[in-house]
Amino acid sequence: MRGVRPRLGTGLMTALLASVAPAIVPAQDVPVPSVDALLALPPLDRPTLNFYGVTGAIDTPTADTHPDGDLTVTSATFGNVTRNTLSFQLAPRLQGSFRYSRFGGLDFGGFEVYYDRSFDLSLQVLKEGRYVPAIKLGLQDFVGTGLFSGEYVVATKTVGPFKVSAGLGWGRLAGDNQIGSPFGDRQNSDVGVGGDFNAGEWFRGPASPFGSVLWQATPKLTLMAEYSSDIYRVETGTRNSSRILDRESDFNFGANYQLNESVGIGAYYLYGAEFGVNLNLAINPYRPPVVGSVAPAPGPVAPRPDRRSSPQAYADTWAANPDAERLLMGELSKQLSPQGLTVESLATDGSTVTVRFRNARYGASAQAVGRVARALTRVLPASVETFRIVPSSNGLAASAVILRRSDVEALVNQPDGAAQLLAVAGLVDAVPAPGDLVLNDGLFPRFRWSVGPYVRNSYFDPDAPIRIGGGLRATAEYEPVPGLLFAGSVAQQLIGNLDDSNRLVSNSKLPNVRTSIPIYDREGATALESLTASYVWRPASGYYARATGGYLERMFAGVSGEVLWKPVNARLGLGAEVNYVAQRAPNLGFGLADGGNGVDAYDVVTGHVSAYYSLDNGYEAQVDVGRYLAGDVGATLSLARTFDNGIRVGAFATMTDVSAEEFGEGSFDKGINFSIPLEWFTGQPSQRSVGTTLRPVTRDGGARLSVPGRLYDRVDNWHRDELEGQWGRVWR
Amino acid sequence: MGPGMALTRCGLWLACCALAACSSGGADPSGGPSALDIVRGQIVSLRGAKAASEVTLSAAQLRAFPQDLLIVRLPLVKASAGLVQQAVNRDTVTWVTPDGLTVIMRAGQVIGTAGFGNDLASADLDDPRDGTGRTVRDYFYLGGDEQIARRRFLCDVTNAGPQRIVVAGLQFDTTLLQEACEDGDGVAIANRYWVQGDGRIRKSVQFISPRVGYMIVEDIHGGLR
Repeated sequence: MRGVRPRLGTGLMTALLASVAPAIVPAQDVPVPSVDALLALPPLDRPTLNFYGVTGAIDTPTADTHPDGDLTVTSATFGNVTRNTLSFQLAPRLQGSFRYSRFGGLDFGGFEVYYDRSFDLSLQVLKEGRYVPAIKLGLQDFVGTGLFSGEYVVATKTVGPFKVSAGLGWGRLAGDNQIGSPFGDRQNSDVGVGGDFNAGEWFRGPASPFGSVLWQATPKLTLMAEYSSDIYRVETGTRNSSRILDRESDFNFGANYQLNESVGIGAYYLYGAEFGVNLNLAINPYRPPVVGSVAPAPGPVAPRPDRRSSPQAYADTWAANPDAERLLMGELSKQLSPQGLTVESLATDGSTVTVRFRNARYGASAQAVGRVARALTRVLPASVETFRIVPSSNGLAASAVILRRSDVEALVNQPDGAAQLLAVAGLVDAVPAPGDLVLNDGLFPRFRWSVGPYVRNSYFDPDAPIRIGGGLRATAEYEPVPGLLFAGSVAQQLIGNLDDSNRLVSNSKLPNVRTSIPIYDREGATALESLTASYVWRPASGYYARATGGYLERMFAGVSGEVLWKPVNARLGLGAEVNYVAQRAPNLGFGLADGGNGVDAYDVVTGHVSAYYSLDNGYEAQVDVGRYLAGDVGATLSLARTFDNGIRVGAFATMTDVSAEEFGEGSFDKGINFSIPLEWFTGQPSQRSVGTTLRPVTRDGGARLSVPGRLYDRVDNWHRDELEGQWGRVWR
Repeated sequence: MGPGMALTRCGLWLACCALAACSSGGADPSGGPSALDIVRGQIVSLRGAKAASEVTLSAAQLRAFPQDLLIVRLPLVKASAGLVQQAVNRDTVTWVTPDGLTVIMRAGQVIGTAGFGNDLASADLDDPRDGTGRTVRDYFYLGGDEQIARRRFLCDVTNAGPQRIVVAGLQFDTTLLQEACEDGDGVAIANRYWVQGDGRIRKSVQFISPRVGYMIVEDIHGGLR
């Protein structure tokens, strides 16, 4: 049984309840009103997703938008073309997509099976009104190889039960029936190595009309008819490509059926010659499968005796006992350890207590703080009135939440109690810390180990879109005092095709800091993944510091130092990091690269100055300027949208002084990342999440060292924005 | 690598996955949810029912139970449980089930639950016994957007006359109060209270939340010991 054990008579209770006496349970004599009308939230009004995975009909877009925050995955196939698209409604009117397309048998660009990665962006500039249609501008494949790029403007109007759309397409979407070039000519884009913005080309050149009509026949079934301007020139066979699909007509027809609010499936007859299938899945961060927690309740808040009738209970002479902190920590650990919280240290002077704790279970920071507060009321003598609850990120004190015990007692079961507690809670820096913090000697020195399975992925190799490897990983950690950590991880690959890559010789003109990954995957089946010594500390109020040394990641070993300035109540953080690393030998042992197996000896000084800023509505921006692993100098811009429940979707791009030709395919480093906490799916507290970083191409330019334990995320977790974001769970 | 070797490696890896990770008491003793839990959670949420549990004591055993008991039944999720007092804080009493779910009561009304999923976070409820015939009920719930939102119901309380009820085999003479409520969106709920002469609510049917439904609450020992 997890959680706090109820104190009274549990054993007796359980035994009695397990008895097999026939039940004379009071009968179902009480008719209870039905709750159907209250059950469902109003259904999300989701438009259909087209074959490109964006809001649209069949193969063309429409001007509708998906609900804000919608994350969708679409897999659509027809002819020999398969498109897998991840789309995100970045803002109520802005949708972004990342697509991985497969053209089977295309024989294009030297590849028999051609894979293409592309990004889309669309903006609804006008919302639909009574007489005014919705209007949207869109960019398709705007930073890819450019061969499938297109732009469009489309308008959609609801007419009775029908949604009618009409639009103009440029680029790939300007096939036949062109109406001229409204904005001038399009140069034949010199794609070069691809991946660059061809902004000068957008909306230039000939344009063609397209349109669609959608009919919501039943609440779950949508019928569609469409006139498409995409002539599939390359796919229907040219000098440079094989014919992989037939196109006899400009018209498409189909139907989409919603299995439930999230899953839709569609069947289509396209271009008069091909059948196609579209499967799409949509989730919305504001509509989790399980709302709230299904975990055992937190323990109660223990009230104190009435001060007037028991004044002796409030005496603070106990604080003079040198063993007081140790005894209190023992009791507190008994309360908190079953809840996934560990006590690191404690200090008390009889009226104030400072507790440093670590949270290994709750994704919601406020929930961990609330549980510590409840446990403190149950353990501490009545004289203690002020709680300083200090969360520690593996030894780094991140903030201090100040609560008065009287407030905790008064507000725990009050209406809107969470908001009331926030109003009286204080949030300050954890330093300066009390001088007499006593370490939990039941916890330190701390040694942990684990052995378990692992899975690693690699994406978008033209020869194999997804490579997966699995095996066994053993990790160990030794922490003699908080903040000083010796950790290592060893892995043995057992199955998978990660080591099958044929791309062992990199064509990169830069030092092979990342393009030699296939060599490491092949040679390093038994790998010392990392072996580090690290120390984190608080140099001053508002400042955090880290020093790490050893085998920092699979490819590099060296030393790394970082400083972060981030006040607890501020939106802005500034940081600086300096690393000196040398490339490791591909066999992932203790040696450094020396030219064996095609990896030359290489060392480099890298470093960045970073600015982190939290905008409103969960948007975050990060700018890093500095020197990357290949010695190139430049900047990275990352933008992310985060939701209070921890879901995060972001994109990044790096521009350095490496030219597009030197960088190679893709022109510059870019990618997207997303992360969804497991807690969102299950309702049970957990710090694990599912997600990944997707880069269309991994090259050597703009590459950053992967150092464990970077400061910003572990510290920001306990600062005002994130604490307030899930404060609704403080009493959970 | 021959097929036999490949098979052995594959089997070893699958066995490890099945065992999940072994550790010395790692980051979280409970291990946290796994991929299997995600699937299970989805199935549960699609079916809309928590794992059901039932009270299986006889009426006599309930009356003879050494601690004060509260018996609750949730018809919507088909579960029932017996709760004992866990804590008293000012005018609120926290009752707890053997597996750690709690129901918080004030003046005979449920003002909070924890662990049911879709819980009632807190509530500001007028007492239907105060005789005015009109009450306001504010329910606070945690939404999918992690904000606590209030749902306000305006209610009419009517006295439906005397009723004799049986709770754990004992008969009680009570007055039935019916509370018919409606919120701003026209959603209606109906609560019922069987109130004894001394004002104690012996049995009641109270709305908790849209996903949990109504809770039938029976006070087994109140005022009898």
